[in-house]
Amino acid sequence: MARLTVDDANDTWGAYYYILALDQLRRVGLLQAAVDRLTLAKLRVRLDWRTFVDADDFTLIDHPNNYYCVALGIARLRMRMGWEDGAGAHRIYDKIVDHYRQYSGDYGFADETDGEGRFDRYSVLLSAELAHHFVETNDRPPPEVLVWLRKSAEVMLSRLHEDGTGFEYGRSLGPYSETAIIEVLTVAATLPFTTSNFRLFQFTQVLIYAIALLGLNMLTGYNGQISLGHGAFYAIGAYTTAIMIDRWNIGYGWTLPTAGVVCLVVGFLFGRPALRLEGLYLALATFALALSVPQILKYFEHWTGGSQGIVLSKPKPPFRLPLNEDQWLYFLTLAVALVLFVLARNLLGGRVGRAVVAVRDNHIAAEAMGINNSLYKSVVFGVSAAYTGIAGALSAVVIAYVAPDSFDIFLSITLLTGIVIGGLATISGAIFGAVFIQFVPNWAQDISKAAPWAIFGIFLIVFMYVMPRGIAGFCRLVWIRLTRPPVTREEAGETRHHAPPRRDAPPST
Amino acid sequence: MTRLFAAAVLVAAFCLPSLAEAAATAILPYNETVQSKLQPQLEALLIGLVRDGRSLTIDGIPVFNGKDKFLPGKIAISLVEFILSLPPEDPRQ
Repeated sequence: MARLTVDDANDTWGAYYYILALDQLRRVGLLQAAVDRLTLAKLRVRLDWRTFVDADDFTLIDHPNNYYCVALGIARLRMRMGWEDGAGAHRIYDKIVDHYRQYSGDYGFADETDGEGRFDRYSVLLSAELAHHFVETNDRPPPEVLVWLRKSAEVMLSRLHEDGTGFEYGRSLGPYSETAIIEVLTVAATLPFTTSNFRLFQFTQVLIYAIALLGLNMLTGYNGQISLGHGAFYAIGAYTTAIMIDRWNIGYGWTLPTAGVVCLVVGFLFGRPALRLEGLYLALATFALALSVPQILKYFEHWTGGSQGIVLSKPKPPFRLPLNEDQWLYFLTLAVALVLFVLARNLLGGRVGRAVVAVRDNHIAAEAMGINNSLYKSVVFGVSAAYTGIAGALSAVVIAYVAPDSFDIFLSITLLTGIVIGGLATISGAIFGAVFIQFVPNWAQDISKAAPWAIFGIFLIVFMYVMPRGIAGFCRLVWIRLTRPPVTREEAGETRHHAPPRRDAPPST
Repeated sequence: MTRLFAAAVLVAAFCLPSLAEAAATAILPYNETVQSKLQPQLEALLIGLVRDGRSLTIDGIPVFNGKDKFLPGKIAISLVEFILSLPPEDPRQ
């Protein structure tokens, strides 16, 4: 079959497909049997990137930018076949990176021209092809390629129906565009920043949100300090973990408590001056924190990777456990969540918890009872920040990527929404709230693609109208109604005549 | 009530991975589409190519008409894909 076509025209993509086929035959030991020596010698000359890239200055000959990627694929495969060394592949890759850096701006999508602004499907697809050329030659893509690929995958994922039934468009995009989506997602799925089991990933995210909401609920629900800035602590926790893993090669297990301690200290220090503020003024101060942290993260580019963020690898399950990475991360998050929930329950259910609530309900009376208001407020701020920081750290490990734009003010508002919907000053409310903020926006999008946030707003209003004390409060009410023994007519009559004074009734004078 | 709630949450939490896996497998896997639709078409085309050589036509149009400048590469990768998808004991390999 090779002899049948060896003298036909076979340009660029054709050469790439051909050498890829030869390399696959070589890998399984069938190359010698499939292609005779003379034909192979001819193919070695013809299947060459130099037919469309100038070998002296490495400029493309009459082809748009994406053909550098084809050249890279051929050069790397020629290297694998033993037909050339890696110098050509290196030079071509450098040209691609230079082009990306010079013309792609902050968004990271490739311009097909030298800065004239031609962005088409290849602008998104190119990162996947680049990554693919490394993967197919048993190599790991460089970090910048993973950053570009992640952005492409996010564009593609946002176009898909979550149930796997296709794209959001009502008609075909055409074979090239649809295969582009499939190619980006296929390559992304083989690399460590997408999940093979999306539902499990969502449930892991629910647990992470539950930890963060529990932290915020300690502060706002139990202690009465309104925070619009907990997204900042979430970000600090996430970046602490990402920097420790990426820059210092520290195991992720060590980074989780470290992120908690860092956030505890930052939260405590922020809580001290915030003691002078209450109510809306404190909310405004924390709002400023949420606004400033993403900007600060972009500023310290050397540590944080700037707006490109930091790409991590998903950790493998230890002890040869028969779990995939997503399952392991789910159980790890579940274990951390269990420990933190038990700790929170013990803390809030005892003397400290009563003091925290007393400070919320009447700080003058609490002070008179010997409670150190300022200490309790600062410590609660710190512990609350620590919980949120640990949630952020887990999120960095699970998503395997951090970027400043993931921690904008919207995250802080979402967390606040979660505790109000779940139920203020309740432990279980954190779980209900986490389920709400993880799934309801998706349902809203399923109901209306045009105005998902309007639908989300309607959900919020309905929930608040039906369950003014949150889902946890509603469940408690239903439970009391269901378990209260039925009142007989005689008891009811007796109660009417000899009703004991209500606990919350004002003392009779 | 708290204990009941905690027990329910724990049971649900430990069952979730298997439930999520079941939900994921309910959707037809993409490779099934490839195996049931694309691969039979590919096999038919390759058998036609082996039988007719350069005189192969598809819907009356000659395949080797010089218009597709990637054709040799497409044929090579398709042929190798087909060969590698065969079980090791298949004599066609």
